[in-house]
Amino acid sequence: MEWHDPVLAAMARKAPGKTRPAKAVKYELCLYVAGETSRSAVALANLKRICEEHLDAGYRITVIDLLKNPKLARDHQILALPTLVRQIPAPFRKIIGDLSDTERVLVGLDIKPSVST
Amino acid sequence: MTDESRRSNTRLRPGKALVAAKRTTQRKSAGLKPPKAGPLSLEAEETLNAIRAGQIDALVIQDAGSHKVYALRSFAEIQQTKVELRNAGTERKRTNAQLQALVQERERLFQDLHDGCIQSIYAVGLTLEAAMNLSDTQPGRVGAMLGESIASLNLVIQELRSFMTGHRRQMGAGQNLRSEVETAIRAARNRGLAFTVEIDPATLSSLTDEQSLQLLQIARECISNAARHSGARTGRVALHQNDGAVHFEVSDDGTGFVPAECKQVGFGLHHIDARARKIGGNARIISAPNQGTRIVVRIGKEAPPRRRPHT
Repeated sequence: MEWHDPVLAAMARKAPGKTRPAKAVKYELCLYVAGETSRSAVALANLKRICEEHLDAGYRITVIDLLKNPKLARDHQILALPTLVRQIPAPFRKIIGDLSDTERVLVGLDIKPSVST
Repeated sequence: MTDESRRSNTRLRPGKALVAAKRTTQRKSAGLKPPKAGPLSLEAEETLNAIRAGQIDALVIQDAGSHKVYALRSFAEIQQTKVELRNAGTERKRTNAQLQALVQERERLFQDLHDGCIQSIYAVGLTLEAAMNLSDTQPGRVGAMLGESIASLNLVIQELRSFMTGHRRQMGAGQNLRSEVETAIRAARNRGLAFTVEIDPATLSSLTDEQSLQLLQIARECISNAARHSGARTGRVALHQNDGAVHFEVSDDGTGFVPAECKQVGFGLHHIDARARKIGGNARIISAPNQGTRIVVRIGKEAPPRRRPHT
C-alpha cells in the first residue's frame, strides 16, 4: 500500500510477517479522507476487509488526506469525504461514504464477489 | 402600483441585471455553458444519500482558482451539538433555579433573624433597662423582670437553634398570635409604652399558621419600632374581618415619620411589605411627622390598589 499520510499509514500498518506476497497490481484504489476521523478509519477498515475477502488479485490502496493536500481533490473531482476511487482498471469509479455496505462497494468497483462469501 | 411605475422601478434596478450580464460574459469567455436546472447527477445523488446516512465527514468545495477543502460537520454531529447545547441550557436553568432558591432562602433567614431574634434580644434589652431604672425604687419588681428576661433569652436561643438546624420559625408550643403579641408588648410596656390588643377570635381562627406567623413578625417589628424610635405612649394591635378581608393593624401615637425616607434606610419596613405579600396581602404604612404611625395589612378579597403612603 502507499500512504500519503503518515498517521493513516500507521493506523493501517500490517503486523510483521503478515505481508502479502507481491502480486501484479490489478486494482489501484484511492481513498480520499478528511483527516483522522472515525469515519475515515471505518472506511479504511471496510476497504481493507473487502479487498482481502474479494480481491484475489493484487491491489494497492492509497489514502489521501485532503485536509493536508487539497489540490489532490482536483484529479478525481472529489465532492465528499470519504470517497473511494478505483483508478485501475479503467474507467474511474467512485464510491462515496464509509464503505459499510459491502454489496454496494462490490457493485461500485465492479468486483465479482468471491465464492466463500 | 401602476404598470408604469412598476416598469420604472424595474429600470431603477440596474445592479442585478449588470451582475448577471457580467457573469454570462465571464462564463462565455471561459468557454463554459450557462448552468441549467435539471435532475441530480448520480454522484450528487449518492453524495446526498451518504450525507443522510451520516457517512460524510466533509464536503469538498473547489473553485477554478484555488483548491480549498471546506470541512463541514455531519448532520449527526450537528444534531449531537444541538443536544449538548440543549442539555447545557437545561443545566443552566437548573443552576439558576438553585441560585434563586438560595437567594430566597437567604432573604427569608435575614427577615426572620431581623424580625425575630433581633427584636427578641432588643425586647430583653428594654426590659433590663427598665429593671435598672427600677432597682432603687421598686427592687421587688426587678427580680420578676430579670426572670422574664432570662425566659426571653432562652426563647431566643431556641429560635437560633432552629435556624441552625434549618427549621422554619414557628409559633411557640401552645401559643397563638394573641399570646405571642402580648409577650411582645410586655417588653414595650417596660419602656412605658402601653399597647392594647383587640383580636377577634373568629378571625384569628380563620388564619393559616403561615399567616399567623407572618402577622406576628410584622407586629413584633412595629412594636419594636414604636418602642425604639417613636416616643409613643400608647399603641394598639387589632385583628378583625371586614367585607371578607382580614385587617391587621398596629398603630401608635408616636412622633411618626416620612415612610418614603425611612424605606431607604432600614430593612424593617421593607420586610413588613414582603411578609404581607407572602401571605397574599398587602401592607400600607401610614405615617407623618407628629401624627403617629399606622401599619395596616389587608389579606384576601381583592385588596385595594396599593397607594404610595401619604407622608
